[in-house]
Amino acid sequence: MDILVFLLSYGGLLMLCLGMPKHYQAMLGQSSFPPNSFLARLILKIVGWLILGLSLVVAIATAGWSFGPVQWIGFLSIGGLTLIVVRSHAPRLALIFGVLSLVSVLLTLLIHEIQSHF
Amino acid sequence: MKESFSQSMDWLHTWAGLLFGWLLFAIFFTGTLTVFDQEITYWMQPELHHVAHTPLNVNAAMHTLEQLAPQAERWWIELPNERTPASTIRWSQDGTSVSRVIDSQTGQPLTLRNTHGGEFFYRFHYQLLLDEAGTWIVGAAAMAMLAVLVAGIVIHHRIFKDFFTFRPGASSHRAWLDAHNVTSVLALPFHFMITFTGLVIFWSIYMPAGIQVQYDGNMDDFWAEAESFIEPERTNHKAPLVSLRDLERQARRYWQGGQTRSIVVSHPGDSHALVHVYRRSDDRLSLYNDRVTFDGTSGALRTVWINSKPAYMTQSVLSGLHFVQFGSSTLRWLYFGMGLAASAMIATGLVLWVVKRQGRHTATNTVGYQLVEGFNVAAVAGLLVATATFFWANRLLPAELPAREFIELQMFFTVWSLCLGHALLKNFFRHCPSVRIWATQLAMAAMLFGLLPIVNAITTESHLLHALSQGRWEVAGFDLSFLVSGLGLAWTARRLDQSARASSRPLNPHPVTSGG
Repeated sequence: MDILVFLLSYGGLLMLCLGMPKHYQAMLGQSSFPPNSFLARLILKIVGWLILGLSLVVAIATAGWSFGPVQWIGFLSIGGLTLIVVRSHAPRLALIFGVLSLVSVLLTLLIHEIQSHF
Repeated sequence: MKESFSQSMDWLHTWAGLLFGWLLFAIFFTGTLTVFDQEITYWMQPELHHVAHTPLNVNAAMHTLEQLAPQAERWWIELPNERTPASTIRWSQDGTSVSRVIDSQTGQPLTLRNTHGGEFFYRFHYQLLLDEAGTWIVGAAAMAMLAVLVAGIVIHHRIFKDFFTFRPGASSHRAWLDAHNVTSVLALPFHFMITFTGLVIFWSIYMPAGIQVQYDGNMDDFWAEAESFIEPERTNHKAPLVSLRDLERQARRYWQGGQTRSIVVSHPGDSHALVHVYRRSDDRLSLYNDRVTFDGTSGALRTVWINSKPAYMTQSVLSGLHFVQFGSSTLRWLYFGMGLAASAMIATGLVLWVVKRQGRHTATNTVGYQLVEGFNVAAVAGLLVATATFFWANRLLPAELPAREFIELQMFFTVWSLCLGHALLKNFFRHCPSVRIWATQLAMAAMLFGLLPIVNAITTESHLLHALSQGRWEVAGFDLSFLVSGLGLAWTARRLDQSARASSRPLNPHPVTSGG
């Protein structure tokens, strides 16, 4: 499930990106919800780092202790470059893709969890 | 006037980056291709594409070697794996070594076109085809790369603020600087890791003092001791070899599921023959292979050598990180992607040197400036054209042509030189703006890469649709990558051409704004 690591890297970096006012406004506009406040940015940053941490956990779980971290760093770089390219050409699309990737990761993990119980 | 630290780092970054940039681009680009060296070699020998993938019959390979090279000093048998489905035998005799690709089942040599394949990019990557002198040049470039990376971090004051910033529509200088920053910062762990580990691989060449003192400079003595690798002299008494297949099976018992990479026989046919069975290292980071050595005539176990000493292990893990022989194809694609990012970082840095000085007439009218413009185009776009030519030559030169592998290289270097000539002549005598020359050569590369799938379809039986319908990604992947490269390069060439047209008409009342 290498793709999960990519999607989580992308999603986590997107949250960190949203935590910066300039990018937040480009992707969400001035007056959108949640309010563009210090607290909102702080939460976005914390969530972003947590997702990146989760992507490391998933990387190690799928590829093991020795290859996992190497793959994680690779996916972080590629995920970040993807985010930047999409963000600069179509900011809204970068956001939509991020939400979709996080949702699909959640669903995959959920299905995996349910399957492991039966 | 005393300069600040940041200014002197800026100077270092600019000038060391420029002087080593051309070489570094070539090193990084060929290194990026080397990630898929075995796949490239396989693709460049289409005769192999229809040979069934089977495990090697080790004794059949041994019989072939007995027939072809009974007097050899040493035999090598390389077993097939997921990346290289063919088996290879090799032998050395009187200072020369010969290799043949064999049918894994019968052990008979296959008739294949001669090519250096991915090995060419590999050799060029670490020694520019110049043997040890090349290793020193590449090492110097790697040291420069580390210095330029550190200096680059020092002068990048907005490293966190501009972490996600890329403004392709902004002014030329701004856009190139953003691209340079983004490709540098986002893949920075890779850039440092790959440069540093590249130096670590050749520690014994770059820092030989320890071996000079302890072993009088004799590397063989050092390795013999480090790897418990002791080989007796030849006795010149003939003695038959035991079954290599049985020894290979025995060796695997020491590896907890590890597979065999190769079998090496020293003094085959002699009563002092030794058989070394090497373990594959693709299931772990550490590169060096564990070995089991047997007596060749009695089959008795001699040595079980397993890499476990801390310093040795550290070095072999660092080398392993560089060579990326481990892990899945996903991992190799990640390395490939980050290698492209590193190449793009160097290319954009070179372009920035020129763009920064544009519009300053005192700077741009000098010979030096024009030389840099020309070298930039040839180092980046010219290398792409030459690489595509190399693949074209592989498909178009007749398979039986003598010394065809050498002609492939000649075409590569001829075309690269022509690109340099084209760039310099256009710039000096026609006063063509360099962006035009960039666009021409990139368009050329785009055309060559984009048409490769068609050339492949005409000259071989493994064209894209055929490979796709059989699910043979190791073949189809090349055609698809060529198509993507062709499209990407064509897009870049078009954008450059548009911007050249726009800037050549400065008084246009309706300026063309380049989109997105």
